[in-house]
Amino acid sequence: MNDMAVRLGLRDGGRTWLRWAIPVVLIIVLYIVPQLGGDGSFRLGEYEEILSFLVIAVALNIAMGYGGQYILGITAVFAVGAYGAILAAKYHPHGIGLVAMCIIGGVVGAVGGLIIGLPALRVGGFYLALVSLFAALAIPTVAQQWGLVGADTGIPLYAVAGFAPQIGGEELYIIVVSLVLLATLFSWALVHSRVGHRFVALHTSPQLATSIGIRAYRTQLLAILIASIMAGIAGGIYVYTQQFFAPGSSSVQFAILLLAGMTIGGMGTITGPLIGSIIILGINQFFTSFQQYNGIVFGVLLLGFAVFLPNGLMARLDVLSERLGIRPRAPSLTSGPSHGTAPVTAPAAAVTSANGAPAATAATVTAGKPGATLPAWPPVVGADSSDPLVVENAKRSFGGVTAVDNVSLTLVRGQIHGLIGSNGSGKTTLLNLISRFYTLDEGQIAVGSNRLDNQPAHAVARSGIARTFQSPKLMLRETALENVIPAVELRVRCTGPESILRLPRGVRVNRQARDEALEILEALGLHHVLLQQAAALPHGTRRMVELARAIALRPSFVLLDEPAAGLSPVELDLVTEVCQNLARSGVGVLLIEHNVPMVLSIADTVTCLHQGRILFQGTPAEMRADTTVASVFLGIDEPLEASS
Amino acid sequence: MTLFLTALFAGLAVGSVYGLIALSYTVVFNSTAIFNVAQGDLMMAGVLVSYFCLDRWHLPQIVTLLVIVGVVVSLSLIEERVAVRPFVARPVVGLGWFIATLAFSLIIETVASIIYGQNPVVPIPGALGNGTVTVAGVHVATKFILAFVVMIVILVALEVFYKRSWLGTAMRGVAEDREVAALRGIDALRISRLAFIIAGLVTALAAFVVAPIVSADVTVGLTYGLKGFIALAAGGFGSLRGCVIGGLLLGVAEQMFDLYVSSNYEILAGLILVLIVLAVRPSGLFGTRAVRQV
Amino acid sequence: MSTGDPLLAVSDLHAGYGSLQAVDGISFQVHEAETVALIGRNGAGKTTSLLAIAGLRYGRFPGSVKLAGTEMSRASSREIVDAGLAHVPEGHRIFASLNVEENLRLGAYTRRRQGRKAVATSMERVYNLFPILRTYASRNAGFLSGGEQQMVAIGQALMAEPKVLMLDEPTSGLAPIVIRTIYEAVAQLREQGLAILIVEQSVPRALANSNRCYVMERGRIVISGDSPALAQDEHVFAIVRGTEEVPSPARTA
Repeated sequence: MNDMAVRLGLRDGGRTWLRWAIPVVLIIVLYIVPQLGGDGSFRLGEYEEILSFLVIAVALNIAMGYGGQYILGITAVFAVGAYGAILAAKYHPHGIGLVAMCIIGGVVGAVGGLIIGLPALRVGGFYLALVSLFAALAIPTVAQQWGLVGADTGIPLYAVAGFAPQIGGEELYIIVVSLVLLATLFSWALVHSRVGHRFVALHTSPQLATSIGIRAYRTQLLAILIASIMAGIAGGIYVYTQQFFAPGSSSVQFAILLLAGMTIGGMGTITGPLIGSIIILGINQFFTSFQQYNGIVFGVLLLGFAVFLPNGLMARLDVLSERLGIRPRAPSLTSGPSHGTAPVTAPAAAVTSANGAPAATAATVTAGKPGATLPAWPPVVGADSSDPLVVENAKRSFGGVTAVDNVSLTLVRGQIHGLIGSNGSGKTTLLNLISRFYTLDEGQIAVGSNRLDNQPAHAVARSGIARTFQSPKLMLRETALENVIPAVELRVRCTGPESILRLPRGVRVNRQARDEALEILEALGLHHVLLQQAAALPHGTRRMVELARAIALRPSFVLLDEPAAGLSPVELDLVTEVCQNLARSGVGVLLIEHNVPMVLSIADTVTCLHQGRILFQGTPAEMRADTTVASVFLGIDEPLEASS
Repeated sequence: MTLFLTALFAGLAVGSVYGLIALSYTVVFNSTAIFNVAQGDLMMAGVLVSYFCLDRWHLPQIVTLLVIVGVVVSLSLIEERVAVRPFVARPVVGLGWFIATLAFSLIIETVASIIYGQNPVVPIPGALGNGTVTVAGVHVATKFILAFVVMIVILVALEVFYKRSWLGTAMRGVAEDREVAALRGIDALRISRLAFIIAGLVTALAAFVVAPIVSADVTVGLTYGLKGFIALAAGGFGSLRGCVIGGLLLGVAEQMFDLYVSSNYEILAGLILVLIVLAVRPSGLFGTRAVRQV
Repeated sequence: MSTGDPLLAVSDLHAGYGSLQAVDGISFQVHEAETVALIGRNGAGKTTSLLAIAGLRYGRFPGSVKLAGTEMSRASSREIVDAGLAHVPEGHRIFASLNVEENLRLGAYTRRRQGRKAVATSMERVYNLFPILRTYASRNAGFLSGGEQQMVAIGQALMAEPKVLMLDEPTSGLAPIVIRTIYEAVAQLREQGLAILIVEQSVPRALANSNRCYVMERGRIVISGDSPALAQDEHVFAIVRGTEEVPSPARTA
């Protein structure tokens, strides 16, 4: 294993120089563009305008490409920030320089972003996109009428007496490029920090994020806030370099152009939006003779990319480099389920890995000898208590159907509790109730005196209760390692800024989180797939990675939803081993399974549900001897008329 | 009082147009779970056709109506084929469909502005003439009343369609569970095409009644589109009556804002309305269906 | 019983999703007035097989599916319904916001040109089969119990007047009384001449209510035979419970 590769967070595939080459070349080009053009400072002003827009693109990429928050009208935030900065300069021309403008822009932008984002967040989905678009429409319209901001003509800062920018010409250009570079580096650092991990987890699936304790609302808000601050700063930069701002400087059309740039370049990568935006904005700026037809060109481009190349040019590059043998295959974001779930009707098939593994990345799980090599995983979160998890008289109905009816069970630390029952008997509902993905109608669930059923789901996860899903939910674009790290980060803590800015504690914690995730993955025999993207992993391996993620939380209780489904016999053995090891380490394991022999062989207690009610609860030996279970559940000796 | 009533009736009229757009959104959304961002621009295209037919070529109102319907429905079908169908077939991930329909609206807008050029805004004669009626002591333009009546008729027609007809019931089924619908022989792709035809029809009618009221230019497509969305958000996704209520609410709110606050900042009325509604009642006043989450 | 040409003849069927090859070359037949059971562990490929036959394709599709002699493996799901095959997927899925009558009516969507009378006649037959639905005709299907929803689902499929009916775990999670009602209805339908294919989780229930039975394991059919004979075969139980490895080649009792 290439230790260096792991430390740099690289992907599998050997030579990744291409990935670094592009942004480096891009930055160099940006720096030397003025030399190439040989034009006067007028051109510089135009370049600086585009550069300030690039900062917005970076901001939008963070919120939208990584965080999944479609704050399309971010141009409204940009406008608000710009107006703030230019007004400050208008009334205090002597005191306001570039830095002050950026700060003012950032603050004002943050406020604007929150006003727009907060209500739309409550609803989610494309509401945010549309509401922010409406804001992008409304702000210029309002500004056109408002005398304070110069109405239609705007505010010409160059005409304000006393305003004399200290920096100009090529020096200013270099600084602005550096600011863009800074913004890009920041976004890279952010994305590869604990904050960025939360964004991606949330973007992938709110359920996934919740199950590892991420607070969805707060994370969304953070994404919007960060983007708003950056967009506001972009406003400050714009105002300083252009010394002018009018309603026409930021319009809905502009928002669409930005979106076009992001789509074409490819969201969710660092350089994609930069390249795309440069292309689009460049075309828009410099081909003014056909301005009238611009809309058609952009519209067709945008449409084409949205339909055929939703991951933009960067994805094309991946494909190209894959063909050239430089990189492994990467999946496309919108061509399939984003978190590894098959469509509802296709069940997980029990396939031998020989049949199922994709040819390019066949990865077999090499399990250690049973019992020999698994390290202990004593609870860390929630370890201050030794109380069991107690479910009392749980009841939950959906519509007219009672899914869980007066079910009580106790999950003891250090023991395995099997939960079996036919389809629709309420097993998964019960798991969802415990992990608080559903609400109880009646009853209560608690660990000692700590009631779980009235807390939000992420709090339950944070108190040391991990869960897996019937269909593994993974961040497909991330590697196996990157999928497990966020779970570790829940309990290995440092603040966001420390992690992003790579302050000493942040660096230490980042590394610790990575090392711990590594350990667990290796213990589960997933050494080979550490740096492979989750989308390339076969079903069984994905299950193991999800299991690793649950273990990485170092929980006191683990709720496993059919972990054995679709596994090969070898993987099945490993899962069995893992369950037993968890119990040995003092973790309480709830095991939902259809594989009754497996459950009976390792469980300390078994609960059998039928139509939402407890049919039987006791030890495996007792269950084997009990005739009710046999007759109703296993279906032997059922009094039905034979109809042949 | 007269001022208030005048504003109220104007608000109801404009609100009817918003309601019609919202109804178009709902028809498409209920069958495809996709929100057609280009709906407002489709209406704007219809308004443009109205100008040409009535003002330039002096065609009779009936012919104009037919031409509008023809153009808007055709555009809708093209959009369905080009920008929507690729996404309806796949499991929905991300907002690719949003971007695609947005791109389509951009194309329509550009084409429209090329065709319309720099021509000044011109008033269009209403279908019932430019006369007024007296209601509650106030003069109300017949074109206002026409807009309102058309919206009510469409609402009723849609409700009957969904409840009573084979296709309408099938559309509701497809919206619930595509797979089961497919297993019963209902072709989901054909249904989504039909949804676009119906939505196009409703939008065409909206264009026909709005052209005499708001002699606006080609840039207002997105504005109407977004306002239609606000009507939808306020009224509640998935509810036909919600569309209508939301639209009227928005229209009236705007006129009242004009009257009592300032007519320059009318657009803020919509923004304030949607922010308040979303903060207080996220699913809208009559909201039923869950919005397809990203 | 199992005489004459099969109404449903499946030969070398393959199906899968993405990298999962769930169905690996299965062949079976169902004849007129016959109930055939398909059993096996979870994940054996039963559901995927039925979905593939019903026209909701998964993956590539070598193999043949013949309905009353006509090749249907490339047909759309609508054409398959027209040809006389109806599939009731697992999970008692119906249109929750529509009432019972609307749900049933939609089942006859492909026959809508045949006129109100024809559709009404079919609906009467469904109500006769499941009398309790008559009382719920205008209630929203979403508010019915699981068993009642299952009846609606089956009734909906029957509205297309199929010749072949496929049921995927029609009784899973339902109370014994409801299970009895459903299987009684199945028996009635068989007497009326339908060819019925049932995926069933409970082995004894499957064998008690079918003429013949196929056992699937890991995408293949490993045992097939007459149900009374298989009911005596311990291997069948063991395979479905997962306590025994697959014997190969496939055995026929």
